[in-house]
Amino acid sequence: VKPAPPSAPASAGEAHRERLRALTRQAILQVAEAVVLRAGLGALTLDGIAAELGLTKQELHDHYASREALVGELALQEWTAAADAVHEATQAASSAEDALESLVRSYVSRYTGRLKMFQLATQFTSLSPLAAQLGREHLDAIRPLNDRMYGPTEGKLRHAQAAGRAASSLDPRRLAFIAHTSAMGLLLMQSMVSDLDDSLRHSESRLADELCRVLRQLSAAALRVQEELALARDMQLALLPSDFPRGADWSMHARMLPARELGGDFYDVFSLPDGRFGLLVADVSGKGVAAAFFMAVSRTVLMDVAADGGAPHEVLARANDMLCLRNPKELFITVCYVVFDPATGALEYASGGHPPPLVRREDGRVDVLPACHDIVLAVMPEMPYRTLHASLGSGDTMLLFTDGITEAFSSAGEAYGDDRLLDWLSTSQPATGPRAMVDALVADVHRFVDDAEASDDLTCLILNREAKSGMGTIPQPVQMTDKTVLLDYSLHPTQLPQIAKLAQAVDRALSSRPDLAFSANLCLEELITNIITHGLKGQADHLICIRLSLSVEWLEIVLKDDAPPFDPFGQAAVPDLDLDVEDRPIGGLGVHLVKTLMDDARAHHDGSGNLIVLLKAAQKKSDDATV
Amino acid sequence: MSVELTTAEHQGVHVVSIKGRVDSANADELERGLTYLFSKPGDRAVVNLGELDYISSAGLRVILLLAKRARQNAGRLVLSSLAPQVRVVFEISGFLKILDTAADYESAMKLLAA
Repeated sequence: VKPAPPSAPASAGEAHRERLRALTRQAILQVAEAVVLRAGLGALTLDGIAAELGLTKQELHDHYASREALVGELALQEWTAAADAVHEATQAASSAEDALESLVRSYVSRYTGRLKMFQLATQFTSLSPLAAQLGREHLDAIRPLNDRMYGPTEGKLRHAQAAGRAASSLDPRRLAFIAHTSAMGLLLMQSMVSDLDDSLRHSESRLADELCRVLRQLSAAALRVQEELALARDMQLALLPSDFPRGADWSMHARMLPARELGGDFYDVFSLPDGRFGLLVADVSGKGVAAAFFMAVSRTVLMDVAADGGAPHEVLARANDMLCLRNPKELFITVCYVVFDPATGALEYASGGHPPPLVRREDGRVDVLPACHDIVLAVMPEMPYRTLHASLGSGDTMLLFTDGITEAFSSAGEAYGDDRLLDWLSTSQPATGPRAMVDALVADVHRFVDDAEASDDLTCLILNREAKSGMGTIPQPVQMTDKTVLLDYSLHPTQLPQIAKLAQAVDRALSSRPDLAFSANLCLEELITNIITHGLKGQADHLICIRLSLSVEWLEIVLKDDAPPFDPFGQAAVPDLDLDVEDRPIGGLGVHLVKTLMDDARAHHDGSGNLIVLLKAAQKKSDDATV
Repeated sequence: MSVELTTAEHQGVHVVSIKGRVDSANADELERGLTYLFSKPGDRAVVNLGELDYISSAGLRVILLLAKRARQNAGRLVLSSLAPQVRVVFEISGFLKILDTAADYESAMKLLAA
């Protein structure tokens, strides 16, 4: 294949003409710049340029139709060259700080002795109405030039931020922009005085030194503030208890997530002299350092006052009086204070401007406890508060929270809201324990807000009283060593549609043994439907408790109800499996399935209800590998 | 988790796939979804259980009702592709002795063509 022939002579002539034209244009711009630097922009005329270059007016006009067009191009060429120079200088800098300094120095030094070109490049649009029109195009052209000018500095700053060597509170682009515009300001001052009196002029390099010093101080100050805030945040979080008291049948957990480095929310949990426990959740108005200080003061005051064991309304009233004396910034604080008696489950609570506690009953109903409607603390002394009473039954869960949950906003501007919180609580799983519940709630709120920035601190405290399984002493048909409880679950007869939910919990608990999970689910469903139809005869308001345990040898499934004595294994007739389709009765298979799938199945009545204990060998039998 | 029913007709045979889990909470739903089968004498149907993860006696009851209706209407029913755990439930219930089953869809169709 032959190479393509060289271009035709006609087009070679065309290219030659183009080159000449470009050279002329370049010469015009060079002469124009020389005139500006020598005698100022006022001395620049098209006629003067034409004369200096030996061009006719028409020849010059072919290149630049007007003086503004020429000045516009000269300004743009100057911006381009400045951007290139700064880009190179900052690219070569060894650190983010050096890059900022190089940006300032390379920009300032470019105009040492060339101030008139700086004026031309930056003040071009103030020249005439036509220049203003050109100026808009000029600005559009400048944006990508600024990207080039700031690029290396931005990159180095981002790198330093990632390594913790620069404050992440400063936006790299804005910092580069600030360095650039400060340098421009410095040159602007210089060009103003240079027009007036040379004796007022300072050396650009001295001013640039000063500017670089200020920029360094700013960066260092921002970094120091950030480090101090991180330290303060750690200390603030360390103030809040991370160990929570617990009893034989109750436990609690709480968490505070500050929206910024420092939060104004807090929680507290402490034992009282009479064996009861005080639980606090509070929200200080405002955010940041002031709120954090007031939070620390408020917490100390509330704890001190509560330690005497007074009724909740007395505690809030006294704390309010004390806080009113220690509130220079006129902040206020909303509090919900609950005293919990683990012996009886009794709750006493008082609230100052805070949402009342939510209580999830064992069956999933959620009660919003009555609100106290009393005033926030630290605003006015000698205010009255009242104590209200409620009770936490077995299997009930109490939730205290701050508005950081209900007023968490999604990126679409929608609030998480009370309804969503009530729904979450209703369908939550108290059997997983308060810590997992707290984590689940935080995760639910985070899912809802997605990527939106947290608008407020978020605090929640959960107190569980465990369900009375009443399983007490479970008759042991075999000795089970190293038995681990995998699942405790309770179910209401009215919740038959939730059998699939129970199945999911069983699948999770036995995730390593899907074969056992299948048998367990089948037997649980058969026995639960059996208890509902035969044992409870459709009565509501009963509870069926389920416990799954595993040892090396056995899977144990225990069901407990509070129905009258009823033995599913004694009463069910054994189905005749040899009957043909037409003669087979519909039903009667459930108990047969349980008896066949399990190795042992017994029912006892222990006075309070029926206890069914099922056992299945945990080791797979060689002749039956699937179930 | 719920039950999902897909129905089709192929070479004059009703083909039904039951996916997911059939328990006491959704067996009625399944029963309603299958009433159209064996409404005419001589209907033939393959019920594909390949993606049935779980079935309890409530579901077995629906299958037994279906088999009874097939018998009354001189129809033919074949269950195909039972997963091992589901198969054990059918076996314990004695259903494998009285219902026609096939390892897969093709053998089920062959069985119906015979």
